[in-house]
Amino acid sequence: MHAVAVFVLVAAVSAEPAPGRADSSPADAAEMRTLAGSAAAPAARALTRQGAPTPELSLTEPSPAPRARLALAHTAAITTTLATAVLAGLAGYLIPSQCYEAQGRPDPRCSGLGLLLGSVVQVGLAVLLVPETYRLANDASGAGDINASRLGAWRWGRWAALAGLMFISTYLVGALVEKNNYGKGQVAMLVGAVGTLGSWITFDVTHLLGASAGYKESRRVRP
Amino acid sequence: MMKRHVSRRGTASVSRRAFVAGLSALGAGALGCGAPRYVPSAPFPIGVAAGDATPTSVLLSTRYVGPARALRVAVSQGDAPVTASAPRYDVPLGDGGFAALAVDGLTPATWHRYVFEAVDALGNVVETSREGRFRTAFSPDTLAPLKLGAVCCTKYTHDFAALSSAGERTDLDAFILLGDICYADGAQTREDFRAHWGLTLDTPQYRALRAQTSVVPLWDDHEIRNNWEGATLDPALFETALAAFMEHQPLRVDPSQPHRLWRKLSWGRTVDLFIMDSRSERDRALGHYISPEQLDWLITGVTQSQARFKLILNTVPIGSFDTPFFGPFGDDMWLAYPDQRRQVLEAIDAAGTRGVLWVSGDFHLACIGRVSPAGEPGARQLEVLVGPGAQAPNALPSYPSAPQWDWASGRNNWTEIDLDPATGQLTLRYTDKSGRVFHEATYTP
Repeated sequence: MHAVAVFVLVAAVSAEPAPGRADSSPADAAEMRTLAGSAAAPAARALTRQGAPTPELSLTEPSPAPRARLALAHTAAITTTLATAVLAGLAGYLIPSQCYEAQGRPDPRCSGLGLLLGSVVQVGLAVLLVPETYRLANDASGAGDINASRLGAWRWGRWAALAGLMFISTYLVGALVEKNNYGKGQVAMLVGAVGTLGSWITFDVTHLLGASAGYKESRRVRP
Repeated sequence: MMKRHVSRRGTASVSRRAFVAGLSALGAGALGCGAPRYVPSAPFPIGVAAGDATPTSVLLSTRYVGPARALRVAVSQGDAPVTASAPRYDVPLGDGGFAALAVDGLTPATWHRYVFEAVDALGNVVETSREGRFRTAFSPDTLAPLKLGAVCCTKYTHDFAALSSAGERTDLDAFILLGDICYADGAQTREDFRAHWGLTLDTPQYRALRAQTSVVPLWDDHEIRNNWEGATLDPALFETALAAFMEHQPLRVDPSQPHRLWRKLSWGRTVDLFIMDSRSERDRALGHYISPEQLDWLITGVTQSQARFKLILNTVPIGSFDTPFFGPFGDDMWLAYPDQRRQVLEAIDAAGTRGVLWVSGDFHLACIGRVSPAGEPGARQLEVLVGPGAQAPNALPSYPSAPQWDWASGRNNWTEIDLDPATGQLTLRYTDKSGRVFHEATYTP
């Protein structure tokens, strides 16, 4: 539970750069590109032409990705998401299966920890890998910003991840009750399990949509 | 010893059998449904079996698919190999090579051995089956210790390793096959059912187990369809499945009531076995888990039994598995028929009957506990769930536990039930696929 909480906090902080930060992070670059579509765009371009040192700001002019390249990236993103779900399922299965082997019966607490581990693996791998697939949409006509894709993915998917954390907590509370009072924790476990599953699916879908939107936004041609 | 024939239909040639089996397998494969492919592995592919032993009789059965046209069985008293001088009895070969013979006039509480022999037209023995053993039941006044084995849920797509050690035991007086022994879901024709049964029993583990001691066979849902009930099942399918069940398992049925599978076997004053049929008389619309006749027979039999132990072979548990996790399965249990459930539990409680043990299966879960929580009917009655013998364990994330349930496990196993009438104690031992007893508990019900 703590691992997810830390992860959520760290990711949330890193995704939302503080105003006035001196260093130029990839997130800053995304923000700058967004700025390029606004009234501040001429100033930003002028800064680039004057040879401003940050490499992010010396990217080529944004242009829409070709449909075929984008379709390839979408396919890769979906495939990666499915793969992370499978890996998460396997990781989540490890703990309860070990408990089962040891005791010859399931331990509700182990399945709760399995849900937690699976969720951490799924969210972690998805955040790391899915935006990277949008590199496939880059070509000679231009390159998008992967960090913008990652930022978009996280912005879209974080609420589902948070909901998942709450449902896992519900499951774990039910499991602790169930351990000492057979039948008494099952409602909470059921709610937690169904909610976690729903959160996983919602996270995967919204995360995918966010990654796509973030990437496309970074390549949008501004007037 | 006297012999009595159990009628079977006429014989069929091996070549035609092989042709029909091959054709149906081919057709099923082409259509992607029906029976799996099954080719008998030996002239006696499912080995031999003895069933429903009484103090003086037993039913012997086998299947023969070799070239000979006649079959006989030699039976000898004592636990030594069958000799040439042992009495031999002709056994009628039925359709599909199935054969059964009830042998009477035996000595109570005595081990016997038997072997089937295929003979040619000149009376020469051309093939012999493996040797089987059985012990006749105790005479009515006998009070002696008894060892029973039990298993349920053995799907042929799974590993039968858990049955191996049961087939090596020579001290089990009888073995209860508590339903879901064959998973014939989807079968339509007699050949379909035979293929499923063949794949189940034509295995080293079942051949060894069924040869080692007599069996007490029951059926449950998967012998036909998942969660079937008699009131709604296609009667033609029922007849086909029943015929296949009867030709593969040795059980006695009254010829005047061929559909009545519920029956009682007694081993002296040690134990009465009440063998239920929890499927074919179900009628949800009427609220009948079993017919009123079977219910009366059960209540009267258990409450008036003079035996020290009363084992109710029940297939689907009667325990109050009514937690949210078990909710989706509730419709198939006694719990979904509360009037009959309350009636039988209250009757046993009211009579103060001691020594009752409900023996159940079906859940892919080994479990021991009380039928109901404290304060409810059946709270003092003991229920034991045996098996699964070869199945995936129950997948629920929480198994029954205290205070109502003492223990539970999902490991594949067979279960030993030791009855000691002198002390009134029964001991339960669960043995896993490595032959290790992984749980043992003693109760005085």
